[in-house]
Amino acid sequence: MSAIPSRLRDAVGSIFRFEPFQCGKWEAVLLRLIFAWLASSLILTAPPSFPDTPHPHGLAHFMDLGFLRDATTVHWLSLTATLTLALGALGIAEPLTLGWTLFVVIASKSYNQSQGVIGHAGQLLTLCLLAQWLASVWALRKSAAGLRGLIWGGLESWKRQVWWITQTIAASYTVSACTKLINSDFTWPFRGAHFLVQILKAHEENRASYLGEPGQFAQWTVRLLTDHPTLGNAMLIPAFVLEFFAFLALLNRRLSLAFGLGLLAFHNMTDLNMAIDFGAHQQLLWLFLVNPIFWAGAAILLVRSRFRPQA
Amino acid sequence: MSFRQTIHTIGSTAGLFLVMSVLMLSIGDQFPFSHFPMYSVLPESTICVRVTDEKGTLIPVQLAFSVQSSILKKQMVCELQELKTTGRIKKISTVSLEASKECGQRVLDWMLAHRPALDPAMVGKRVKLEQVTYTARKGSVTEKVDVLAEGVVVNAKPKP
Repeated sequence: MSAIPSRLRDAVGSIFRFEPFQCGKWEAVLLRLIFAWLASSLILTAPPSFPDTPHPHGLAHFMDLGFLRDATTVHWLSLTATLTLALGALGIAEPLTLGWTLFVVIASKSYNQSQGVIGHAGQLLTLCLLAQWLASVWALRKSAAGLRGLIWGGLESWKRQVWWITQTIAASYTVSACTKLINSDFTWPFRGAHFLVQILKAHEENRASYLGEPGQFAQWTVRLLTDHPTLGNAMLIPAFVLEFFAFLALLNRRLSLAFGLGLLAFHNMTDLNMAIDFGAHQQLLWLFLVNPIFWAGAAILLVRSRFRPQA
Repeated sequence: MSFRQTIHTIGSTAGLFLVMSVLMLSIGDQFPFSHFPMYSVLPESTICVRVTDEKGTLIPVQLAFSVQSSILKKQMVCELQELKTTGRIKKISTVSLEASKECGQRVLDWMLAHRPALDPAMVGKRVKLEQVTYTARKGSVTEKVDVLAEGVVVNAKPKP
């Protein structure tokens, strides 16, 4: 009789067991290269189309970003930020190279967001770039190599960068869930009856923007929630649980995979129902939480060990 | 494990998670930080804004002015927020139609000034900004349309 609870306890213990983050050399190299490619989408390619910054946002609170209106300046900023991002991805002088890219990205995005409209497509990717840069600066703390440490952070710094980016992704989802709780007086997961108005609003916005029509799945959801409004809770509660407990993805690789796939499913459902595409978030989830590079490496090691000739 | 050891373990393993969480929640929406407030309230009522011609025929703003309807709605909320900051309204959710019209006119003026029409034939045409309010009450959703503002298209993107 007592064997079942003890087995259950072992199984739960094994699921939630904390396993310190270990990252292989090639995993760190490949993840950083692909991440740099994703981050390159943040770099501005043309001056902003707005003449000023009527509602200062981010860096615009602290400095005049008017220099971004000059096409020649923007050309050089774009060129140098792309070059430094590439150098940073190769591990060269990361505190300086990634720092410059980060400055250019934050300055240009702050300018565009200073029109009174705040979009949320680029924040997480930029925060991950910030986390990577912070990890590269953190490496200098213990570096005994002085200038050489500044020029070449090395493998340990790269592994830390991957881990800090992963933590930042998890933090963004947990924070998003906390915001939902705070802004809704702790009732968000149970406001399913109001969810339908958000879906209808999203459909009308797509029609008003580009004559977009909701897909079959979205139409089915609208019919379902029109007939049974409280079923909206069944959609909100799993989404909230996934977001709030995203920090559990940091416990071990299995939970990281599970939360990565769960959050991807959440984004896909949002996209199907409301045509809201958080592409950068999904790419980051694939890369760092689902992490096919790690699982491919683990599978190769498993196959090799199975077929290794017995001594 | 002592308290000090526990703090050290948490700090060395997930310290950045805690730092980032605190920064995001305390700084809020200041790029690159964000507390990700999208859809965080889910009130019983929400609005959408759209642009029509004089006869009320929908003009798809992304195709006609390179701006999304959701951006115009965010501009609208920003203008309402300004009224709230200056003490002219108490709550955005219970704002009067007059205040919405004042903000709507500013939003339409902003669009016509900063987003030139992609089709030069639009220049000189009158357009209207409409607000659609969706409200969920007693198991059903009602839809209400108000005309907030009118204006004339003055700019068009030069042909390449």
